[in-house]
Amino acid sequence: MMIAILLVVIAILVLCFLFGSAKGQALLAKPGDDVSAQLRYVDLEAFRNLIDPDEEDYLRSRLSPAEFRLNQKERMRAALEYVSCAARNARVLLSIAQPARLSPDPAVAAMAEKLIDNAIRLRLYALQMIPRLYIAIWLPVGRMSPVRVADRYEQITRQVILLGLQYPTRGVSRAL
Amino acid sequence: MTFTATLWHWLWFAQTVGHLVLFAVLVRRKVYQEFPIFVSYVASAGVLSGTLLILNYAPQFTGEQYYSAYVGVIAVLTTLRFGIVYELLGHVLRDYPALSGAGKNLFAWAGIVLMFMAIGFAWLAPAGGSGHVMAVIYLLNRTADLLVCGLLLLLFILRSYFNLTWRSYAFGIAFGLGFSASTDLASDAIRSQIEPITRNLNTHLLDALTQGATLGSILIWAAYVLAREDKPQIRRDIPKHDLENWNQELQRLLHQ
Repeated sequence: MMIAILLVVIAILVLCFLFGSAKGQALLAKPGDDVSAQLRYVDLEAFRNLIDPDEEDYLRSRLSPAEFRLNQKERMRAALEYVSCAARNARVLLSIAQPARLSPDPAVAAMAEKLIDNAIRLRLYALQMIPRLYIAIWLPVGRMSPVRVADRYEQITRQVILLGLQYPTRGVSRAL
Repeated sequence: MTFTATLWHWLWFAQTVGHLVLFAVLVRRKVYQEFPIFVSYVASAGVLSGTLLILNYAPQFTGEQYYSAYVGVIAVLTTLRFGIVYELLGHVLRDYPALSGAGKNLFAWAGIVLMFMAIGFAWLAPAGGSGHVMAVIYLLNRTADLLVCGLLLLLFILRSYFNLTWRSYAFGIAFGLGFSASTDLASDAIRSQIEPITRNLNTHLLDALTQGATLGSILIWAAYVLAREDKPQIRRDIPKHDLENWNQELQRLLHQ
């Protein structure tokens, strides 16, 4: 009977989740909305420096193993923060790009399509990287380099700028 | 006949008529062009439920014939339910090609994990109660419901994580199916453990619950189909030469 009760609880949770989802359809920004306040600044240069394998090799050669492990933990914590911010920004950008995709202007629609594609890929990478970074914080042994997140983030930043030339993104590119 | 028995019989009639009326609306709105499996499901549910009603009330049919038909109906509708989930997933992946590969893999793995979970639950809590044959049927239903609920839940999580937009129809279909499947899961989980040989108050109540949930899902689908599809609004009055904006963005591009 315990399993039956467990399944009833699961069913109730699924129902609650469905009703919650029905209440909050996808967060979409209308052209006039100011979403820049939801964005967090990501210093790409600092992020790239942080995940640079050469930098890691340099630190490894200079520091004692214990010091390196401590340093590496801090670096991975910072990288985790950067990846989380980039993933969060990608989600906000998706809310801008999705209405823009339906624009009557084919250039705007195409640009928005590319932005959606890259923002989704960035969130996919982030989904893979975040658990690995957590593991790397606790077991700082292997090399962890979320370069693809940085590359993809740079791409979407450029695409937002280009989209902003033809579609009202309301200062979003400045906030990135 | 007790009140609960009368209630679920009326709900049975209502959901049969509801499915057929909804099918007519879906055909009128040409929803079959986008969601053929869903429309087939609604049509099949209406026709098969009507068939079961006839088998239940016509004196020339025996109980055995009714239950044989019931098993067949459940098999067809369960298969179509999986088909609807597949159809919804297809729509999401078609609208977002970047998700295609990862989405397919994720669902394949989730299907395998859920299958093991459902088999595990079936092994840990096999069919109970004195009405063993029906309890086994409810156990199989429970297994299928768990899979459908799990896959739908994953679809909703995917939508939420990537902030994806679904057209109203797709969302309504998923919501209605999830509502019905999760209620069925709760009901089948209980019935697979306590199913008696002869019907009693519990079975009447659980039948009323599942028939009511089916009717509820029909109303959800009808509400979404009858409502205007809320496509995101695009402002058409965007100035073509917003020089200030261009200037700011070009400066930013140069600084990259």
